[in-house]
Amino acid sequence: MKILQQLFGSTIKRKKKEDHTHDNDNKVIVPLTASLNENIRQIENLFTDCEDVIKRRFPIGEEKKVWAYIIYVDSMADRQVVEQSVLYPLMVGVREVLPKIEDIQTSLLDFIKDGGMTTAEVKNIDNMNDVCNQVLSGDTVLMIDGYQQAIAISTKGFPNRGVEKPDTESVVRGSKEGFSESLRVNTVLIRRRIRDTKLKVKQKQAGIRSKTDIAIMYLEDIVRPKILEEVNQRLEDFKVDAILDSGHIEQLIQDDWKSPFPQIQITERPDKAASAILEGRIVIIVDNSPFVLLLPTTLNCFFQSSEDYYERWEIASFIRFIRYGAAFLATALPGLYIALTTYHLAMIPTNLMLSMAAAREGVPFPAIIEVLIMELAFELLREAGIRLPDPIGSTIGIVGGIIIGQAAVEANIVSPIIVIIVSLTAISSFAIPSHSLGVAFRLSKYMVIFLSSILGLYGFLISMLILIIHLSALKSFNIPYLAPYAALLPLYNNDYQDSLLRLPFFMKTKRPLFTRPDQRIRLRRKDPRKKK
Amino acid sequence: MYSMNDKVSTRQVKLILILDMFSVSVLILPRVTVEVARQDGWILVIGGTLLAFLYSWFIAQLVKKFPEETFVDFSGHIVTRPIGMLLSLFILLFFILSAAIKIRIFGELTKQILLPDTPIEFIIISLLLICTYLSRKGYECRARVAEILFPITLIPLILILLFAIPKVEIPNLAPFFQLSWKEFFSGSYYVSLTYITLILLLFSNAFVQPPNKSGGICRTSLLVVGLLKLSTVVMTIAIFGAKGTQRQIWPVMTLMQVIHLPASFIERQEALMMIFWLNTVFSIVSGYLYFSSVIVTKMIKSNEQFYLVLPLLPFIYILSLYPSDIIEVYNWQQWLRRKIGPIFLIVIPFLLWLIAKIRKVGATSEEKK
Amino acid sequence: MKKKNKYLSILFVTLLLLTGCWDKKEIDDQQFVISLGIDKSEKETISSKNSYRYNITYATPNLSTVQKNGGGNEPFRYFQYVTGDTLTGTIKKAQAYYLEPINFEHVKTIILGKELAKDKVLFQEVLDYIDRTPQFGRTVLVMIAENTAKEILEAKEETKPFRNRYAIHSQDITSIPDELIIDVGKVLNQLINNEGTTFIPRIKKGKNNLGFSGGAVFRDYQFQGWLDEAQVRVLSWTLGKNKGGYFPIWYQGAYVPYEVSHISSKVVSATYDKYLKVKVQIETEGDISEYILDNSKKYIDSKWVKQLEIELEEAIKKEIRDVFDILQMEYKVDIIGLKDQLKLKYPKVWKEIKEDYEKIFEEAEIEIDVNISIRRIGMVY
Repeated sequence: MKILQQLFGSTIKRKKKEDHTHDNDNKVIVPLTASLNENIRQIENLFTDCEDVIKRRFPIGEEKKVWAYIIYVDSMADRQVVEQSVLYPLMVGVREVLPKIEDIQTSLLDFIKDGGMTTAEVKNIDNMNDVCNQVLSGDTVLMIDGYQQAIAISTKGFPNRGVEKPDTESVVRGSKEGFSESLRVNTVLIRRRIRDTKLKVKQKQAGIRSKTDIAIMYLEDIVRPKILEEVNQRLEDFKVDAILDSGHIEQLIQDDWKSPFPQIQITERPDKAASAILEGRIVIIVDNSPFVLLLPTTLNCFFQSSEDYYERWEIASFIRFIRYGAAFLATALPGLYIALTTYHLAMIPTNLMLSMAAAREGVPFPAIIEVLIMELAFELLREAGIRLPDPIGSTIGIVGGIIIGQAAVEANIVSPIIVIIVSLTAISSFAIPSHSLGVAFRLSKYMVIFLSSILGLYGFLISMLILIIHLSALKSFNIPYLAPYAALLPLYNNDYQDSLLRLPFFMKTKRPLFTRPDQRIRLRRKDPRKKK
Repeated sequence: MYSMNDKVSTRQVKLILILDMFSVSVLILPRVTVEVARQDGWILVIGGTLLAFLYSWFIAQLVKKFPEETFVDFSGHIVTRPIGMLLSLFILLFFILSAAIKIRIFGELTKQILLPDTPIEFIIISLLLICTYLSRKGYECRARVAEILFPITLIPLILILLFAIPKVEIPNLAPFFQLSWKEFFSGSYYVSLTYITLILLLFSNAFVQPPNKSGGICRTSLLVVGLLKLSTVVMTIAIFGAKGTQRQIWPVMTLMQVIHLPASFIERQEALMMIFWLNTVFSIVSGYLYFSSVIVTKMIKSNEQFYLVLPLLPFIYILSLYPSDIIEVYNWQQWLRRKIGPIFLIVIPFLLWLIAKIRKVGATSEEKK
Repeated sequence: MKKKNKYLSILFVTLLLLTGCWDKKEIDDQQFVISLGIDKSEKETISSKNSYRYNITYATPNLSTVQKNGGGNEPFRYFQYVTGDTLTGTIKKAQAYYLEPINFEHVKTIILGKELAKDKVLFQEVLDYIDRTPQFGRTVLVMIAENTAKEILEAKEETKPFRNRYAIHSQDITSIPDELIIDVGKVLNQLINNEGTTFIPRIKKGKNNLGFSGGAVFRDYQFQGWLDEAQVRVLSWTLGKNKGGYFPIWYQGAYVPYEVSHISSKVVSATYDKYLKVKVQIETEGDISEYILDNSKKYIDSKWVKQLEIELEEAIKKEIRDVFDILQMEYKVDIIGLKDQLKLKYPKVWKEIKEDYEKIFEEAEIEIDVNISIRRIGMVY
């Protein structure tokens, strides 16, 4: 006991080191004083052991020197900009300026800020917290002796991936640009597609330690104001250490954390985000994440892919049907198979049944265990396939899927029908355009299997009912999840133009249900009589 | 803004009512009509539906006077609080009993066709749990579920009726119009009592937005359900004949068995069809459960409706297991329908409406405008 | 903490309850019966210990022969024979002999033995069992064996793998048109609605195959007698259901068949005075498919056709008349659907006669009018 106390006592009982520099919210509370030396001391204190924070003290002026101090993070600030646009004018250029420094009437700080440097963006800051924030965001901060203010100069130039093809959402036809990790790049990609002054970009910061930038983009006149309010409210509702990815934000602001179904849609494609904004939805872009959030969402949104709108409507509608069918298969097929073959043998045609019975001779497991084994094996394969580098990945697919499956059948561990069923299920779950929804269906599949294996078709019905009830009760920011199939009125009269069928463009005269009720008319023919 | 305010649209209420009214009664309806009028039983359905229109008119008028109020509230306004409470208590008991009987019938049918060896208690418990899950989510959720279930349930049922047409033998319905007026009226009266689920409208009107369309709701749903019941009864009698229909316990189930779906590879499809029909039973039982919990909530003036659903379960469960065999279940059902049903379906709405009119209680249309 | 306990306890109870799976039937553990034969037991004994009234024969497929590559020399089916007191009892006895559960849900045909059909009580019991049990669907085919069901079931030599021809299926049938193949639903309907009158096809064992041939007539649940093929063919004419049937007639030195392509039969008048007087009109359209290849014979012309039509009409009328006589005198049963037509078209007449219909039918005068049209004669004159 005493040994334990000795071992752990120190960790438990050690008093927290008194931290005078930060408050509870991790905000720096050290004051910014007019004395440069004092400021330098504080900053050195704050940034001890941070070798990548470069600090330079330099004089401005020749004879009557005023000391200045710049701080920036190496490689996060563009060094060229720092040297050419900040240091050069201040150190060299100022000597060529007439009148001499002593004659400057206005404050030196304002003089420098307004005309001393040749950078595009400058800002005043007056507390140490902002100094640290700006430095850590990639800006350069300039402090001048004698002034209680500092100047933040925008010099962001950190390395980033650039605009590449989106990995998770490739299309046959459509733009191949994808979001990257930099917030500004992402907002630009959307801005290019919506050149409207009403497109607003509101920025916030989330995460006490990470201070991640979040941008909320929306079209001011068609978004529902209450949803916007709700989003802002929810973003301010939590206090978390760090936001590393949009996934964190998604889980923190979603409506129902217990449900496996995603209530916020994510995308990597700027055209999808732009079209969401044009529908009246809100896009949240999180720095360091190539996945942006689209909200509010309905179930229908997950079945739409960008290609649907660039291709013709017949093929788009047909593919939509297939997607819905795939969603149903991905959830229901194994459960249905178990229910029919274990409980309701009368329903299978006699020929098929005899074949199945003959094929299952010698298989040691009952049908349920077979299905579970194969399903879990498939999950393993899937997980393994994600992490393998490309050349090995496809081989594993072939090896695992075909050969192992074949071998299992021949060894009489599973019957061939199970392999067909399980692979069909897996393929169907890939056919759903949105990965997060596919995962939800993958999980529900197990519940369906479980209930079907206990109560047959009745259990299958119960599991379907559970799913339907759950989906019906789900709401994404107060929009019912199952709109437009359920719960349209008193919202709107109809929104079927884009659900199961994708109607031709000239029929889509109204905006979807996300928009404000008075902003619904979208498309008008110029002259109704002129039709080719 | 569309939020958790539990308001539903008229279209949704129509769908809920259609699903509710179609459920258990359609299974035993052919037998009931054939017992009275032999091969002319289908005519009774027409008469019964017309009578049901009459009842629904009273109910609709009654609830129109009190938008946003459930039966518990407005009965208190009309006939003083204590009597209103008493009436609500009776309706509560009626709901619980009805739910129990319907669940029992459902359990018997499931056991017969789908799961012969499973103990019926288990089937009943699982259905009750699902209904609880739905009832806890509120009326809005129930409306949405009905919207989703509506096409899933009714389209297969209509397909069955369509595909049953080749098997129809018209001589089974002949000779036509042989029934006497007495048979017609008494039979229609019995059939009209199968629309007992109309009394749910006494409660659901509080949730509808806009609230004064209850007349239209009744008309549409009665029309649709009436047509469905009529076609079912006609088909059943036409295929099995009057005596054959009388002999079957579940003639509609056997109907599902004899039809031949073209290009279908499923044999013995009555199990599959039963699954679709089970949705309706689920809908009505969860409706009863939900409104029972609403009544209790209002009676004890609580704010949370959700928690009161679970305590009702043991009552329903025990009651549903009480009858000892299928014939007794049938008798209970008949007793409930014929003796108790009219009180709630006809007498109470009519009396309340009359008293409300006399005492000039409740909003009239001039006031609303 | 309390909430977590609540969830855990619910989960636990649910898990306990869910250990059931009472109804699970493994597909490869079952014996599937495809066709069932029920006979009357040879020595019928009813005693308190062991009553013997039924003999049941059933065939189950040999699963190893179901695979595509066939099974070599193994038999395609296995037969089981059981004797017992009631049908339920017999089936339970059968179950007791074999480890694997017997599954009757895929039964496609039920064959009743002749002796069984003749025994009124047994017949009624069997049909009630078929109606009451949920195992047999109403689309099961029912037929009466010429002698015993056992020999019919054993007779057929399978040449193809079991999977394809798993029983006596309607495609095997050689002679009877489809409409007279009766499923048990129809039989039950007729029995219940017509107080025990029905017609069940008979299955005969030939040298190398099985075939339908005529049928048995029942009145008041009692077996009355057989109708053979020709008579049944005639019957189907009066029912208006002989599409694809034919009628051969000797004409000008050749046996010429008249193939029916379209037939309709109606009751055109019915009156009841002291006895029922009904006129049935049958109209058919058809082809001639055979004549005789002989240079001396004339080519077929319209006079030939008209003459043939008249002779056909006479011949058919006579045959129908004969069968009706049998039906009315001997069997006293209306299986020609006269009742239905009367109910439908002449309700007033029906009202008067429905009380005593059997007797009235026996004495009824049924006039038959046949109208034949020959439409096509093939490719040559």
